[in-house]
Amino acid sequence: MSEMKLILVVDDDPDLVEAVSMKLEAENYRVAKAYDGVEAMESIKAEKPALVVLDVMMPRKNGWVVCDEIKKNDQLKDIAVVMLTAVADAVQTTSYTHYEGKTTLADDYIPKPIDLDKLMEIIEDHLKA
Amino acid sequence: MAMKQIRMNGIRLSNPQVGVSQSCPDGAASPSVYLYRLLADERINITFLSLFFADDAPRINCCVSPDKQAKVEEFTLCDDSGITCRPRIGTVSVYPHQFSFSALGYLLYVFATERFYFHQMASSGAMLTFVVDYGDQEKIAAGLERHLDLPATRTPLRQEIDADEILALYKKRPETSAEYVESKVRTYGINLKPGQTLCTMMISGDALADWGARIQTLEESRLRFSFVSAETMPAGRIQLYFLCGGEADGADIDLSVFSGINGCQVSLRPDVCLISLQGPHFGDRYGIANQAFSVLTGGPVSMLLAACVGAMIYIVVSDDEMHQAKALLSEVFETP
Repeated sequence: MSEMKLILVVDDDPDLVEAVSMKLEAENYRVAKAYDGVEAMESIKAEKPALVVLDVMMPRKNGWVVCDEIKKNDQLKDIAVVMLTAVADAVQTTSYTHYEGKTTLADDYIPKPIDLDKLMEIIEDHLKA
Repeated sequence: MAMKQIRMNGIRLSNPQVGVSQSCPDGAASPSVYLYRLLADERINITFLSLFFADDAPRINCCVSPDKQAKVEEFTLCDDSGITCRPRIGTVSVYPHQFSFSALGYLLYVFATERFYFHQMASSGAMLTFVVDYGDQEKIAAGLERHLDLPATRTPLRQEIDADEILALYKKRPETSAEYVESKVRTYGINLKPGQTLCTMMISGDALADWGARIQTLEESRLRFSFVSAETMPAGRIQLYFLCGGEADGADIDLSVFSGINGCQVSLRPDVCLISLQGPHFGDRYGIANQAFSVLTGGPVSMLLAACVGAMIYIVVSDDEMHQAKALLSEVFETP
């Protein structure tokens, strides 16, 4: 039996972290959770997940910075990063710049609201690669 | 009674907020305009909401940004609005509660024994959020830190910048900024949890520790709560509402757990449904609560309770009305 892969879910919305975690656990992944960018980096360095599901707009350290720190670190750069972004698409009352998003090295992006089945497909694709 | 300490992942503190509440003016069955509608019309975001329509006296409580204080104070000048303001409040959120009676009971026990006062409390899927006086917020966070089993690195996190400040930062890159409009508000889905029992309790504030200790004992049953909401009433009494799994989950609530609690009044209403919907950054966007509630209150569905906590909206209706409620909500919310 293959080892259950560890996925880190990072979002400042604890409800979303719970929803994604439950889906991942149902698909037989191990899950670690973090609720801001600083916690995420601590968890990434300590636990070396196979993949990080990473929100963009978060307190203390945003997702673009976390992604940069992962991809510029020789020991971490192989960790796949799937970014969640509510603001890449239509939202009612906010403004958003794509500038930083275009310059980061995330492995994939998925818009919020997340289609959990689509997220699972993306995760499986990256973990197979 | 021995209390079982609970493990939590974190504590989150809000910036200062203004509390706005609406209750029915004397003799009125309902306000002429609901508070959530007034706030939406003024493009004021609601960061927390608890709504109680299950009793004879409908009440709505909201938290909004302090820079909207002057505007919401204007609402109070209207004689028949039933609106009052409370400046300088804040929220303390603890997560994840895992729908555990042990967690709920322990937190209320801690509030009671430490003499922490809350105005309202409501759950989302992950968080239990307490509305407290802003001056008490740090003290409460420190007290919870002492009592809860928290990861060493996860000290209480204050939301240092709010959504408006984040937007201002992004707008500094004008060549790529854009504004979008959703024709229909997108969600992760509208979920129904029927067959719940709504348990309503009125307890005196000095019985809260006893109540918290006793409700922890339900953890050993197969019962789980799916939603909880509370409000401190005049004279320090606390009105508590919680939904728990009915026979569909193979467990019923044993009211004998609460017998003998000083001044405790309990009533049960079976066959209610918890409707939940969650969307991206719902907590940072104005008008979402109004979209959900106006479509229901304008129609044949009677909301019993509702809450907006974080990015989640919870609405409690009777089982008989759940499909109609979902159909109405689907008119204004897009589901995957």
